[in-house]
Amino acid sequence: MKKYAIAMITILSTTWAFQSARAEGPQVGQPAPAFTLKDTKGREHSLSDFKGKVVVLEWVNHGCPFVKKFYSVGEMQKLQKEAVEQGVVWLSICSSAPGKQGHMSPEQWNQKNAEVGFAGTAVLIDEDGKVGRQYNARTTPEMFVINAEGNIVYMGAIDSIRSTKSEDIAKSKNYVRAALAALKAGKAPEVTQTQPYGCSVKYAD
Amino acid sequence: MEAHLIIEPSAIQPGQTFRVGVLFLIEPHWHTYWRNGGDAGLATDIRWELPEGFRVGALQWPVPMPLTVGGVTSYGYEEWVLHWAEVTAPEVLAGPEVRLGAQVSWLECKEACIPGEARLERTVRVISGEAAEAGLSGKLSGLSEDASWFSRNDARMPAENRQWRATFRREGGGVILRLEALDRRAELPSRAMFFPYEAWFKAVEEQKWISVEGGWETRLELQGFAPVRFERIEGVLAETATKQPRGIELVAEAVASPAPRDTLPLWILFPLAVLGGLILNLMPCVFPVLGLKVMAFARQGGESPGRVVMHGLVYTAGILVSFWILGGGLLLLRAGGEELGWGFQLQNPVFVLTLALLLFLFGLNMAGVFEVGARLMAMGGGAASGRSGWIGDWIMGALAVVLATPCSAPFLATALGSALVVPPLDSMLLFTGMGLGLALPYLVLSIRPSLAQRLPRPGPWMESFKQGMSFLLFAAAAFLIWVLAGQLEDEALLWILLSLTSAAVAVWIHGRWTQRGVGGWKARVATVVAGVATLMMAWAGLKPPAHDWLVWSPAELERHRAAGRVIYVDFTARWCVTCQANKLAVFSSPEVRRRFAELGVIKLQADWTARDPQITQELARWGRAAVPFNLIYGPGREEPEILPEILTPGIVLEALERVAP
Repeated sequence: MKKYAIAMITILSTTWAFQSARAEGPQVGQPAPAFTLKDTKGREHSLSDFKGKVVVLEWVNHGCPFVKKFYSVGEMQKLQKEAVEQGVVWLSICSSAPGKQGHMSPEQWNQKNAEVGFAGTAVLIDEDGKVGRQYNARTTPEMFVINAEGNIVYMGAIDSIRSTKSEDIAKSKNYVRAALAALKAGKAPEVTQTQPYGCSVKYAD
Repeated sequence: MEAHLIIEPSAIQPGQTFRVGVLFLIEPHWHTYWRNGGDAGLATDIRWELPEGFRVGALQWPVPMPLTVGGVTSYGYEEWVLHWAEVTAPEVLAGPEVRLGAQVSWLECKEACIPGEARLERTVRVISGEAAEAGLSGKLSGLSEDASWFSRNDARMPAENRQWRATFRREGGGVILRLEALDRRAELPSRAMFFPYEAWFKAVEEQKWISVEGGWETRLELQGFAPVRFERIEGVLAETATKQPRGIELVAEAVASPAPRDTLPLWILFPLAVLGGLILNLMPCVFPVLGLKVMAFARQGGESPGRVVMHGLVYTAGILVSFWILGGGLLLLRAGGEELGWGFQLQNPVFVLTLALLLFLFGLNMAGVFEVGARLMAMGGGAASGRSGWIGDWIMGALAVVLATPCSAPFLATALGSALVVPPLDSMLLFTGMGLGLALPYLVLSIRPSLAQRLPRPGPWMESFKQGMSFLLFAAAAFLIWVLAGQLEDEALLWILLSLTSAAVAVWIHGRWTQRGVGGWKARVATVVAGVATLMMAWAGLKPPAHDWLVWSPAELERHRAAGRVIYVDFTARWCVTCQANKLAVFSSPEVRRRFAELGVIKLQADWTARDPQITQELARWGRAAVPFNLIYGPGREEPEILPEILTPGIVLEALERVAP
């Protein structure tokens, strides 16, 4: 009797596991997936460390022309500075696998950050792509804005004009800036989800 | 990467509509993007810069292919691609030439990405109408040297859809796209993929298609940023087995989700399941076991009432646990199988054949051709002493479930269908209900033994009854074979019926010799051989037809002759064994198949199984009154090659040589 009961429980739980494995990834209005990553200075950061603060996640790869679109004219750095001055935590995440475009050693990262004038809180290294996959990050840049309660309030593209041309920045609507402004005013962002654009995140094959 | 502006004609006339395109020559392993780039990437952008008065149509996109790098899938092009549009020149156009331009920007990626931009230009001569008529001789001199790119590219353009009716319905976080064949010959392309124009869906490297009644279904996952409601999905249905895929344009309309069985509330489904289980006791699979139960019960007559109830409860527990294992297994299969694209419905030929085979074998068992689980039955029936009684009851319960399974599928479609469709917990509850229903009579008898007086006494009638039940099982198997016949092409049915016969032979040998302890190893080997033959014939019946025969008619023949095709005409009939042997001999040869594919041979079949005056007339024309009769037509030849009555691959190949050297 006991053996049968164990067998039945195993079968039932496996079935439930199958069903729940099909659950969706990050969703607007839902808690942002928790993670812990090391930054370029060797310090560990967890998303939970920043509870009570608004957090922006920026997927980055400095080899990608879409990322260069913003960094080469200082636009991304400007946005980072604005955010940090407002008390927002800005975390850039690089999910490039070793050997792939965008991957750098911590020393190289620190050099690059100094070179471009990175103005965010930290750059986190996600070499094995685990966090990238958790967030279903497919392009660089891809942005997530997380409110103080830890829920995602915006995810997707950084702005509205899908191109590699820096001239388009002035003409486009910046969704991250808009989301941060809405949160500051105590409201929910008007645009909560858009199709991201950029180069593919360079996960391992 | 090279980008060129190319123009199809070598000169244009005022008012003429012609094609202009931007040709990309892409380095190996690099790619550009389709109008919907997929998960990443950027669609090529072309802005035409045409002189005053020129009108230009929509930009045309060849069928893309899926490109996956590091788990991120995009839709795009490798090697080369031509994006073109139709341009109409104004009625008044001054020569001698005119300059057409385009501002092009694109993204080219391998692992890294390089954005590109270019302003392209091309001049083309303008000729007046009269000069055109005087100067041009034949179509070719009107085309530029770049024109071949246009015709090469035409094969990659999505064609018009004449084969499918496409619909979709929302389901959970995605959409089920459904294709219904409008034509019996509609075939799902190999490695079929639907490329939607909108980026509302997650890009995938491969799509799994499930065969459903009348067509195919696949699931498309929605992106979070997709609109909440949309009435149509437009895109291209393509085969992705080759590097330059072909496809058709598809527009899928929304339909309301079918009134799903899973909205029937559980409190209605549960009693239905119990009722179903109860009815199972009457099924020919299970009823004879009921007889054994009665015998066992009679034996227990002497025991204390409490112990008798315990017997009943243990039997019930045995049934319930077996049902749970069965249900859990089915759910696991469903969850895993959906990943593999299996269809657990009566629309899946493999499923139907397996059921039919099982029912047929059980029927043979009922008829007494062989015994199944005889030892188990003896153990269960011989529950004399108290100790082995529990195990006996348990096993009888499990046995009842095992025997009930193949019977339940055709007769309890609703309950089982619901069980496979509702969430897992509800599903297990339904299985529990069925188990309770199945165990109910015995449980009731064990609680109120007096009712046992009302049961018929065991006797020889039970054997007759069991054998008589076999016919019900044969009828059920016949029904399933009829269902199967509707799902397969002609010869497949023959193989299926032969495989059933072979299965009968296998169990007959097993029952008559091995189970009676005679025949030794020879009998066992014979059984195995027959069993293997069964499986092979079933496989032959189930595999999709390797060839595609078109229906012969004088009009069809003319049509293909006019197109200059090589045509193989086969006058045949089902009852003509020589015809089947011929086809088997000829088309089992890889040489023949290869040559047919190389020459693009059209296969026309004139089926004379039922009287057909048109075919009779045609045969008479050739001085024939019987089948088999085969002809091969070649391009540019008046008379076809007449093939002899008995064919071999060699004969057919030789004839092909004469007709199309």
